[in-house]
Amino acid sequence: MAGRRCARTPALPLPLPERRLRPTAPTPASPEPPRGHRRFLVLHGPGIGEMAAWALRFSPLVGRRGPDALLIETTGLPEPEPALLTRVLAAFDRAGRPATGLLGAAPAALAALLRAGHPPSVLAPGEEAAALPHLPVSALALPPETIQALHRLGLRDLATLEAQPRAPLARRFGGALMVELAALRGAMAPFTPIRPPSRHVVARDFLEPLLTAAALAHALRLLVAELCEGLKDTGEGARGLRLTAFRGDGSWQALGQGLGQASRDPVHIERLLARRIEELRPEFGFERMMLAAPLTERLEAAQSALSAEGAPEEALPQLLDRLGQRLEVWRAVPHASHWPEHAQRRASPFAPAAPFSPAPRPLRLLRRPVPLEAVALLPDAPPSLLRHNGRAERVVSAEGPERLTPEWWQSGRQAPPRDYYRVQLASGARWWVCRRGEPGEPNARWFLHGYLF
Amino acid sequence: MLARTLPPPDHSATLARLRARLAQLDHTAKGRAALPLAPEINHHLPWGGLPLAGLHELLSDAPGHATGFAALLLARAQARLARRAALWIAAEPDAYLPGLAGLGLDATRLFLLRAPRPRDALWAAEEALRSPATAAVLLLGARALDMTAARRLQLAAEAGGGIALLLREEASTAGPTAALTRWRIAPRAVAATPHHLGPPAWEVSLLRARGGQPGTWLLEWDAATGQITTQAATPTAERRRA
Repeated sequence: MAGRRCARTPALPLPLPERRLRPTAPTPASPEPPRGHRRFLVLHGPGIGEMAAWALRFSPLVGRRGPDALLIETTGLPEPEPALLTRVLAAFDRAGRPATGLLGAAPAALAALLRAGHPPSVLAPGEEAAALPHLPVSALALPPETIQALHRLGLRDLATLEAQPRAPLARRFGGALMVELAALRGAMAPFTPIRPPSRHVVARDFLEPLLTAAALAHALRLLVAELCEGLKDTGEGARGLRLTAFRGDGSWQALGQGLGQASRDPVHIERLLARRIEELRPEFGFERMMLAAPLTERLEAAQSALSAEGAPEEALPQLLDRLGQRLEVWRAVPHASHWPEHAQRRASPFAPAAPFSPAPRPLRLLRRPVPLEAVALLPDAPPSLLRHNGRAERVVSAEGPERLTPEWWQSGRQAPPRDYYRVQLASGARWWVCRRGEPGEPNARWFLHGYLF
Repeated sequence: MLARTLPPPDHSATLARLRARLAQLDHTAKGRAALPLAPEINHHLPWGGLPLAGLHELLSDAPGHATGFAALLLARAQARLARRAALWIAAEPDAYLPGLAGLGLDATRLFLLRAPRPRDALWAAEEALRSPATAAVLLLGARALDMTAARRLQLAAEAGGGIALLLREEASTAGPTAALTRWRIAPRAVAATPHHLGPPAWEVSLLRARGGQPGTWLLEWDAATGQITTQAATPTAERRRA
């Protein structure tokens, strides 16, 4: 800051602040590889392919290479590489899946070296290049018949293979060999992570495994606070969260949590996640917890500390989130159908809403219409007496009928037509009753379908 | 000896002071916002209407008319507290919006909650009432609400400022309540002919009101103006005359 202000002050001669601003000599002796190069850790071990999700604890980018190999991108991880390799191999050992691994630049070369029996180590770019020429052809990721054919030609190691002109090789063995040769030199690193990495991930390791709900809640609070800080820095809000808790024995548990509206309010997010703590099963304790926001949305900065819960616009989605965690919440939206039970549909509470146009319909529509026994003076006259649960209800007045026929354009449904009456009973209660079937038919039945007002 | 020389104590001033102090302590005092019902009822109630930020019990064995009355209150709460939403909590919510829209209920600001267990329903109602995003909560079919639960709902409503309606499908109930008011709603047929139902009408009895007197009114809803009107000859008046 001070330097920049100096540079703009016209009184100072220009070269002076520039010299002052120039960075000091880079600190040497860093074991880190030069920047711009990608670094990969290739692991081989029986059955470790299914540990891919667990290996996300080491790096957000993990890919599978068949059932017995994993590829972890370690570019930019803060830990020194030798320590990382030791830690990863020890963790796999403890998880009961012993593995061997190599850390270097070209995943294909690392995998080939591992197949050739290279001991686990960190390879600097020079070491990798030096080790490759002695690599036997049988260690390459090629079909057995190709390897046999190469052997028959006397091409037994990589140095002699690479000395051959490429065009005849390509004509003889096809593209697979060329791709493998390019991959060995690090020219291409095809890599499909098992999960696209989230931009927002926070994680914490714990020396003592976490067992109690109180400890988990505390850890959660730390993670949420850190995640929300990160979201604030990039001006985003989380729409989906994933909490992953790793146990000491190599198993893990993941919880997903959606949000109705993008949020980076630590209080709200913590309240949502705290309700899920009871779903976590620590068994022998969690030693690492990771909270990611895989789904984010742009969220404009808002003044967050004015009131405890903010305006209704903000509080409503938060309330619906909380209620939706435990109960079914929905909003009713109109649907273009004259069949009564189809005229209203359920929609997500966050779905766009639409108003209903008023109609002479009941206020409450019974999901299961109640069968009634009806007495009418004439087959097509409104009922004059309704029997319901053994009680006879006299009908004082009736409006109707309103005939509804099934929608012929809906295939597969051949329901009989319904005649709806709005009736008022002697007690004053109003019912919406219907006769299912043509009047006078022997199988016409009466139902109470809703309560009117 | 000394007492004789003092002026007589001013009882009316003391009483007025104490009343003012009590009113300050009571969160549901007259200063609170209230939903208007019919003019006669507004006049009768100590709050000048049905107060928001409070719990009200509705008892009825006629689901249609009780729902109609409650939906009118929901609609008025929605109108009064713009930008806030109403919640309908029931074991099996069967609200039918094509019919309810006629009462002025705004479907875009109504959410339905399915709470098969009464415990969950109470939790949801309390959570919603505490939020400043809720205008009204209608809780249907709660059989019996103990004093603690009712008191919790009342406090939550005071915190959030919305109105809590508890619709119980029974016509009579005994026992105390923490609610501000308790109403019984019975359907009444007004001007019905064999082929015309007539306007919707209720006999509404105020069974209990904190700081108010009970009363009974015959109400009619005018669909054209959206107003609740009192019938000229209310049953109470007839009984007094008799």
